[in-house]
This record gives sequence, structure tokens and C-alpha cells, in this order.
Amino acid sequence: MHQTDEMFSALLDGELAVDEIDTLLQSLDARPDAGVMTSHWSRIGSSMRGQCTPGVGHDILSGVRAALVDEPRHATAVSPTPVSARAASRRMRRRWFSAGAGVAAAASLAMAVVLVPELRNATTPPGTAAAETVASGAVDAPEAVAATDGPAVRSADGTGNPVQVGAAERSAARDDRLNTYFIEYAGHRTVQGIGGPLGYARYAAHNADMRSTRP
Amino acid sequence: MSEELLDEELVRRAQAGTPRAFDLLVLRHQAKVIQLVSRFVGDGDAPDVAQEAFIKAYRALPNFKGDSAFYTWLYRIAINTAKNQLVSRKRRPLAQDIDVQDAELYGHTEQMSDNTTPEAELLTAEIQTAVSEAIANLPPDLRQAITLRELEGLSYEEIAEAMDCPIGTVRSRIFRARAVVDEVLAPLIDRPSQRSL
Repeated sequence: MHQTDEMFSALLDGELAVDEIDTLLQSLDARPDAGVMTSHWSRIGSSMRGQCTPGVGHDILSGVRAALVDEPRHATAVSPTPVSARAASRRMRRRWFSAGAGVAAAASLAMAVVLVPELRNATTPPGTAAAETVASGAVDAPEAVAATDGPAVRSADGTGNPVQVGAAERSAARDDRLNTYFIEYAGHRTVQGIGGPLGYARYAAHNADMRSTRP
Repeated sequence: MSEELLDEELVRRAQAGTPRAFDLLVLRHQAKVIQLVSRFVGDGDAPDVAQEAFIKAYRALPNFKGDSAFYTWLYRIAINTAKNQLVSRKRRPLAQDIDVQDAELYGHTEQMSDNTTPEAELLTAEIQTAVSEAIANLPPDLRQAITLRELEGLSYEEIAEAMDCPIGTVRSRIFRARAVVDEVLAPLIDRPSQRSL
């Protein structure tokens, strides 16, 4: 039994440490039966699992070596991408894909928030109470637009006299609130480390709760 | 180091001009490749086809960019090599294309070829009996370690947590268990009359 045999066992399980690779490479000459040994260990595992593949106990390393003895060594012209960079690249692609999917879902939710009240106003007769939406209630509007029967009123002209607000103006006000919503959400998301449509909805619901608890 | 990262490091070294690094990749994956191709070409030809697959993989190694895991890329080569072998033997080509992941999931009972001889089946049964008895006779800590690894597929870290011992101890126990069982197994596998199986 050689000192490096335990490393071959770890290699088989994919548990070899990176700083042990050089030691194992150097020991291959001293262990010409390494292929037979590891193939036997693989056979132990497959037998334990009830897998009956007789060929698993075969060592093919010696045959591979013999076939490749005259092959030229590989030599990459450009230094290969480091392991960590390739793995990071794959993680980044997965992250962007999931972020993109989250943004798409959040955008769909926002569109629904904007369009549903629009459609409702288009179908409801004038004078019907226009309920505050979650989106419009989540952010402090620059000027409160009360939901009342009839046209919305606003007492913001400085005179104290009520000023009637039309549908177009209400729509513009909602757009303003939604834009502000996105901006604040983006900032909140960065700070809190939340993302995706769930985070967006959670943020919206949280602010709606805060609004409802205000005196 | 995870299995995938270990493979990537070995591939990187092989691509950079260290062919012995490819030897370690062969050691790591030869059993799985043999098992995979045996489902196509049978147990008798599986080692030769697997060997050919590794040779092809080495020659194609400069073209491997790491977009997929090394073993996925290797298994694809192995399946194609096995299919070519079937075609060259003028057998009926497979009716459906087998994905790498599906091929891995096929149980050992779903043999696509029926080249298993009675002698091979007898040897397999004999080996399984010998291995089961050897495992049962192991000290409890060695038996538990190798069982968690081979049957449950746990990593060394997970086994260490389960057995409440250092990872180095887990590694040592698994190795010693294999060494003990191999003392029983080696004479069966390496019997001159059975070497062709």
C-alpha cells in the first residue's frame, strides 16, 4: 500500500484537493497499477448498488496511454480561462437570466397595475368611486387625489377652492406615482437585497400597509 | 474542491501540456464510461469502446471550452462512439436518440444489448456476494463511511457531518474500507479464466 493510495481514493470520489494534484501526478509512475486499483474500487461501489456491469472492473488506462504515446502534447497558445473564471461566467449567465426573468415579471405586474384601473375607468360610468390601487397607495403622491364619488377633487390651487381633476390628469398623476414607485423600489431593492417580482409585490404591499396605518 | 472544479483543473492542465493530468481524468471516469457504453454494445465490447472514447476525447481536448461540464462532454463522445460501433457492426441503429442524462438514468437492468454470457452473470453474482459479505464484516465506522458514500452518494463533508468526525477521517475510512474489500474482490476479478469477461 502506497502513501498516495488514499489520494487515488479521493480522486475517484472527486474529493482531491487542488494542492494534491501535483503529488498524484508524480506518483503515477510509481503506481503503474493505479488503473487496476481504481477500477476495482469502482466495482465495489457498483456491486454495492446492485449494478452488474462486469466491464467496470477493467482498467483501460494502460490501453489509452499506449494509444496516445506518440500523440503530441497539447499546448494552448493562449492561456486557458482559469477554472474560477469559467465557473463564474456560468454563474453570471444564470444570474442574468434569472434577473431578466424577474424584471420581465415585475414589468408585467406593473403593466397590469397601470392598465386595470385604466380599463376600469373606461368601462365605469362617471361618478362612480374610483378605488385607490395598490400602486397608487404605495407611494406618497405629491398631491393627494382622494377617491370620492364623482370627479376627483384637489385643493391644491392655494385658494382652498376645490378644483375638479379630469381623467387625463388622474392618469398622468398615476403615471407619476408609478415612475416614482419604480425609482424608490429600485433603491429599496438595492439596499434590502431583494429582487424579482415577489420583492416588488412585497415592497408594494408593505407600503400599502404603512399608508393604511397612518392617521 | 467540487467534482466539477476538480475535472476543470485537470482539463486545464491537460490542455496546457500535462498529459498525465488526462490519466487522472481517465481514472476518475473510466468506470462510468464503461457502464454507459455497455448499455449500447454489451459488456464484452464495453472496455474497448470506452478506451476508444477516451482516446477521442484526448484528441478533441483542445476544442473543449468548458461551456458544459467535462463529464457531460465526455459522455456525449462515449455515446457517439458506442453508436458508431453498433453501426459498424451493421446492427440496427437505436430507434431513438439517447440524451446523456437519460443514458445515465437507465438502470443496469435496461440493457440495450444482450451480450451477457452465463459465465459473466455467474461471476457478477459471485462478486456481489463476496462484496456484500466483505462489507458486512467491516468495522462499523468503515462500513458506515463507505455505505454513505456509495449508496447514499454523500460528499465527504456531508459524511463528516453525519458521522461527527473530520473530513480527513472520512477520507481515510473510505479508503481503508475499499482496501479491505479489494483483498476479497481482486482474486475474483483477476482470475485468469475470467479476464476476458
